[in-house]
Amino acid sequence: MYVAVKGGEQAIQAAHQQQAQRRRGDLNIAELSVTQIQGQLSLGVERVMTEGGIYDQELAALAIKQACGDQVEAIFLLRAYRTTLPMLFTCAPLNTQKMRVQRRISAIYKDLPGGQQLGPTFDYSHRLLDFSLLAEGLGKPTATQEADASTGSNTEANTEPSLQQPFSRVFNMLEQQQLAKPEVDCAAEPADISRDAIHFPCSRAARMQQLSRGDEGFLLALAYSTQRGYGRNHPFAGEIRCGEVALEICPEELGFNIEIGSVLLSECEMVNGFVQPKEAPAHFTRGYGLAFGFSERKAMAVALLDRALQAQQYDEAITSPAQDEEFVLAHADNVAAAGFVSHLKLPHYVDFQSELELLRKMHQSQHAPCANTGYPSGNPSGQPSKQTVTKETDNAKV
Amino acid sequence: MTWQQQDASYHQQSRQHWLSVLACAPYEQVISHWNTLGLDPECEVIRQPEIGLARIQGRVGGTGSRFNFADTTVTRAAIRLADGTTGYGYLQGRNKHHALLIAIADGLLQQRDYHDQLQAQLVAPLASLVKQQHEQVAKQMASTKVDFFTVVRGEDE
Amino acid sequence: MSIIAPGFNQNVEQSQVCFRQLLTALSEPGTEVTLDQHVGFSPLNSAASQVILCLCDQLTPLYLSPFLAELVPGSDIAQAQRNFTFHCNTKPSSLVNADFAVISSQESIHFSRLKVGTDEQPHQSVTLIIQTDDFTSGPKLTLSGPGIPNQRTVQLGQLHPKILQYLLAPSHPFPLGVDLLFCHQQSLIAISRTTKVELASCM
Repeated sequence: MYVAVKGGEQAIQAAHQQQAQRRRGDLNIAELSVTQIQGQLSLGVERVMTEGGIYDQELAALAIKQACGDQVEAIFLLRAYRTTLPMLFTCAPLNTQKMRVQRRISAIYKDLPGGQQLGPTFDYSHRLLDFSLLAEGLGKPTATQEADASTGSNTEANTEPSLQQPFSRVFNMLEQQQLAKPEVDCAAEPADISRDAIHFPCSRAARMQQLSRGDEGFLLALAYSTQRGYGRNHPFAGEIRCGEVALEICPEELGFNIEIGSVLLSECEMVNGFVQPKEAPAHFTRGYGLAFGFSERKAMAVALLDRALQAQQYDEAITSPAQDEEFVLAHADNVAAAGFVSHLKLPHYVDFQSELELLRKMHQSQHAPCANTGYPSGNPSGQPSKQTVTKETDNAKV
Repeated sequence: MTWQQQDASYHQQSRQHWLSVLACAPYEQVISHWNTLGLDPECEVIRQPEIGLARIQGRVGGTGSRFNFADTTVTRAAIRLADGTTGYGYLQGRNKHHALLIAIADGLLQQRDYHDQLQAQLVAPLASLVKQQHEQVAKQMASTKVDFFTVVRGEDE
Repeated sequence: MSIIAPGFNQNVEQSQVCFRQLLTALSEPGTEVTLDQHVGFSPLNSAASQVILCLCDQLTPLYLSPFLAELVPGSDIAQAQRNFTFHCNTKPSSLVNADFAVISSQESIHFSRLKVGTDEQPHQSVTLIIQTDDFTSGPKLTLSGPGIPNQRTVQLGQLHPKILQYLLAPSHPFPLGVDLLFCHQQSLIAISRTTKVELASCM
């Protein structure tokens, strides 16, 4: 039960002012611009776009600035903004086949058509702090800038047209050899959980949407749990690709498709442990993940969970949290999670008062001799009664 | 028979192309090319530039069933030229002026008097610019291609 | 060739002005408000058009009664639909499935066939926009209920007996029901499903 509490307007105003000052920081240091955040904290921006559900770098960067870098708060801001806009179009489904690939790796085939292309990555770095970045703005080029320059000259040398060899899909090869089942379009109109609340059991479309918007940390931890044995599904990173995919819309008044821009995407396809159905040859199972930007850790986590949540379809025993659709999907959204946890900060004065009264009554009846101190003086009758007390209070709440 | 009706499918393809190019080219480039044309046609705005969302759908496994992945911001606008031709502008993002500019250019590109000039001085240079940018990125990224043959030690294989 | 007419000049601001007016109209049933942000798409009058421009989007199936076009010579109902589709992304719909429907006060209508919501989702009902000739003729109606201090008396023009009958005795038990927006030129009077309507003639 909540009771309206009035007052504190001035305190709130002052608190917001303090927050604004804290956001701005030391006035002797130049203010961070949204363009800088957009250009130089791109991975942060991309996470906020993925979980905020809108591809718009400038808005995501603005949200990060406003939220002092708090990603969950920034995601909340973007989600709130989203609700103010009309839905004008539905783009043609992303054709990742036609991705302008920047990065493409496979952990299951060394040599595959198109080859392995690393693109920008932290992989293979030693995770040593680069102190040369501390020296920025002192006029001398940093190590990174030098690296950029040298890569640039390398590129000049590598300009043969053969580089344009298309990156064929790894799963295509497996499908052709009947080692994997092709994903077929069921042509159903996909659920939209941002309009209709999710119900369990839900469609794979609803699942994919919720996973895509889900908290990276939560999904990563659950994906990790499957690798550690809680819902093992024996994954291989079949293919990870990052690059630009064109967006097309078909405005009603035109009646034909036009390209309106593109999105930078990370796509992950996991090859998972095989099944041996009676009616078809033994084949690998698969999981799929998609995220904005160079967010392959998120895409991989989604792909692992997409597969883990197919447990029922493959008659696998559902024994672990990562396989439990309701557990995963109902708790994946960090805006919902942060909201419900944060609501504990709201006044619960009356609730708490009633619990206090209940507890005091129990003290009076249980420890009549020391009731006047107001505090329990230990529990000579032993632990079990304490258990009962907790249970009763819980029931009383309901 | 009007010029537009002469070859409907060619016209549609051509219009598809210019609307896409004008939307995908960076605003700074579109405006600077537009300014050199020195055109200021009279027109009525029938749809004020409007910011909204476009749903982005993915396909599981890249080929399978659709799912709602996320949204992107989009802006659209529409104008009518003095002779009644309607021009439309759509683009990703929230640049209202860019959307209006595309709509005006779309209107003019449908007119015989302006078509060739705009194709040559606006659409074509912007198209090659966009293509160049794509190639530039592809080239840079190609430098990160792994050449496994350099690490093969003959006798081990 | 279809002619698209301009929508709101300042979509956000003008929608907000209309929304504020509609909020007043619905929270104080029987109060006449003015919507003066748009001339309307004939045969719809100005107020009715603005309700749609302000409230409808790609998720609101819209029904426009062909009967309206018969009352305004030279108008075309399909043309009005195209304009709303163009500006608000609305989808034309049958009356039975509509979330928003525009009809004439002169026409017969089967209220039993309209969307009235469910006990769980009472808001999933149709909002009926009724174009009427004036607010100075027709039966005198006394309104009472939420948003009305004591009572309010209104006239809604000449009404088809079926509409009047529904006003006086809604066939759906609350919270189900239909909210009615009577529109004349730039004026609008709302009768919400919470409003009790009685004939004032015996006074």
